[in-house]
Amino acid sequence: MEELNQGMDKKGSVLVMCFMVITVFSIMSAAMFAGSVSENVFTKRYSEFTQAFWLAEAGANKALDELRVSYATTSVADTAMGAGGYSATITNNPDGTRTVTSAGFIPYLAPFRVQRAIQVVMNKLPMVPPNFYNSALYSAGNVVIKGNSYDIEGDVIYAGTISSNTGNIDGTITHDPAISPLASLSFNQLRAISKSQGNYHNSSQLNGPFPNTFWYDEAAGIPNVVFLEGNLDLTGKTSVGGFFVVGGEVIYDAVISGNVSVKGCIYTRGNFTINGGGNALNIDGGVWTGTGATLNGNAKIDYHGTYMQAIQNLGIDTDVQVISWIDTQNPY
Amino acid sequence: MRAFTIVELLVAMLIFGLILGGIFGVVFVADKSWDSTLGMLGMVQEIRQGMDGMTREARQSGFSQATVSVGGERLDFFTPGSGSVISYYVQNNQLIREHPNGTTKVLANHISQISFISTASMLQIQITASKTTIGNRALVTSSAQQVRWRN
Repeated sequence: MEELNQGMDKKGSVLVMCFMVITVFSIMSAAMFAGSVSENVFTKRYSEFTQAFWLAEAGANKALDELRVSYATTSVADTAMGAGGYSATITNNPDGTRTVTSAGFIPYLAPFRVQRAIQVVMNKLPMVPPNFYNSALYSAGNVVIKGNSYDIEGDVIYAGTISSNTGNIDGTITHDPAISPLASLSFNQLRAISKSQGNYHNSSQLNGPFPNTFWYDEAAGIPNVVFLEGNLDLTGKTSVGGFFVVGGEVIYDAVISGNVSVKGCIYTRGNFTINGGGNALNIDGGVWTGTGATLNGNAKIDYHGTYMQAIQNLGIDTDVQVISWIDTQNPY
Repeated sequence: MRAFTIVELLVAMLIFGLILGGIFGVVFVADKSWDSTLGMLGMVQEIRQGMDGMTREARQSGFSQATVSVGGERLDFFTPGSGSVISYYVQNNQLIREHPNGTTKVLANHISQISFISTASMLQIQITASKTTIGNRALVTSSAQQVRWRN
């Protein structure tokens, strides 16, 4: 103890202690700073990783767009977007499909900090499936029926599952997973027809007015095509007619609520829902849905062969559509 | 110079005690907050790690290729090239990926609950993580995400 006290009495010991304390604090600060910098870098990489994924998606979408213009297209121009860019290649497969490999990267020019790639198989059906125009309800997803007060006069075909209460379907019920994904009709053609008839509705005109009957030019055999660049919601309408195409660049849905009567058919790549609230025959024609149908309450659908034949006679081409999508960098 | 009286000493000790009590109080609260924040950050990281892997893989599936258990706590699905079913579920507070059958991988810890809802076009995932801090404080956080089926 005596020796220790003598040691502490020596001049300069306070300075040594101060240095020790400063060293400890410096090490702690450096560790915290390094941790903060590394977190910052990690967050930035994560953000860029996500951006690169969406750039790869943009490349695949561009390739889809090009293939819709010409199915013989074999290349897509490399494109800079925002902080990065994409590069997409198209390969012709022996079975007639196309494989698009799209890479998104940041920055646009090498060396890349981040790169993501996806592989998408696309196909253009030579024609729609043979039973495409034969059903009252054609669902490439599920058919959900709530309650027993609905009524379907005609065939029902579905790719997913169907509710057990099918007693009020007066027609054949067929399960066919091969109808998924829903055959894509050429929106370019349908859009052009609807524009020529004055039945085109852009995203700000989705409430109508809509025609109140199916035929536009019965003598020429051309039905009225009502094209919507967004969701179709017929809530509050009473009587409308035509071939309603729920189109647009993304997948939109169709909803009918209440005492609405549609003379004609509805085509949507999204969901189709009827919230039956009256006694009207909701659909006198037929419905195609890409992701599923839901029938609530006293929903009523009748198949109408004449209307279907008129739509079939239009001879609408099929569109190129995605049949398989893979993230090539599996997380595991 | 005269010595301190006992009263002076008592008053000094009282003031010193109060100051010390205040400092300890602040340190105690700060420590608790630090512990909670650190614990919460850890759980958020765990959720993010699990969610990121799951969404990236599930995105490659489709509505007709995926099954959600009745309670919504287990997801089984196929992806192009997966060969066999891929499963996600929570077991012993761990988020588990199983593929192929019998081969499991722990994706995240402290996961108390997971819920899957499959609709025609989307998969909704909700993950809840929970843990108890050193001070026996319960921490709970959750995160939800929607994924569009691509196949």
